Amino acid sequence: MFPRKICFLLLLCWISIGAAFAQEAKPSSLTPTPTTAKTPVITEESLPSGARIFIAPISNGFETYVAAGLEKKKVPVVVVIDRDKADYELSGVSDTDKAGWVKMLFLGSQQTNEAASIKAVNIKTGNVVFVYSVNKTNSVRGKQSAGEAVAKHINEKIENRYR
Amino acid sequence: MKRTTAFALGIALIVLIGFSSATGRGTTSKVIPPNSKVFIAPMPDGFDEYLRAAIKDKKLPLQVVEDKDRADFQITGQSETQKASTAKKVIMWDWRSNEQASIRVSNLQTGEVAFAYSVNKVSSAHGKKSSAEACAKHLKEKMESKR
Repeated sequence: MFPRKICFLLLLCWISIGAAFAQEAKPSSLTPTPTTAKTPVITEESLPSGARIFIAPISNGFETYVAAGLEKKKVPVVVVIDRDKADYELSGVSDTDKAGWVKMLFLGSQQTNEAASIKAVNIKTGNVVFVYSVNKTNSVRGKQSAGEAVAKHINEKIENRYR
Repeated sequence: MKRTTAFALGIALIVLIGFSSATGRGTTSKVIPPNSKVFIAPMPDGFDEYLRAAIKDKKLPLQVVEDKDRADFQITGQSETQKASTAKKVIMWDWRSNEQASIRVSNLQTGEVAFAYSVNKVSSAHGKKSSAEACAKHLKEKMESKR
């Protein structure tokens, strides 16, 4: 009876060790495959003052809030509506989480949570020159706050203060 | 001597012109002249109609046209209304909606955005009308600033 139990335990150990090694070995088997497609590269390239920027459509119409933020924060860029006339393209995603009744009841807050992430790409080189994401819990002014945060950081990038 | 001075002045002028054209790249005109023809593009929830009414109410010196080809500027934008939920009505005793909107005025000739503005109104007294009037008011201020 006793050796049978030991055998069973040993078998169990062997299986688990084997499984662990198999898991560890898995990444090494994934050799990087050479890709021929042009992949975007994040560079330290600066964003010049007076750059012509095209803002691509973003979910929930966030692009207009970014444009308004750039205007409000007096960012020295020229926003254009035609991509062909632009030096840089701004694209991204945006998400809004509205306050539910639980939040209203327990926190007395009806403010939304806002999340957005954007990237600026040099149209000529295809390099990503600026990336930024913002998450505002209980955003005082909803999308407007998020749009202005994006604009503020673009301004910092132009002034080379963005790290 | 005179020739040298003239030559130096010529060089200085060339350098000055070159410098001004290089630095002036971003300082394009963003002026919206009075009596410009404006086309208001359709917006979600019919916000364009409210904006049209607000432009008239606030006496903006603009001509709203129905044909984009005849317009000098185009107004595009986004609007969102969050109606008061039952929870808001019961807990906060507030029936008013939250409004947010954003507009962009682009010059159709140059393709540049001349003005952009966003507004967020919590418990808006007159719903979309308030946010549209805020947009119109700020557009008027922009036009009057002539910058």
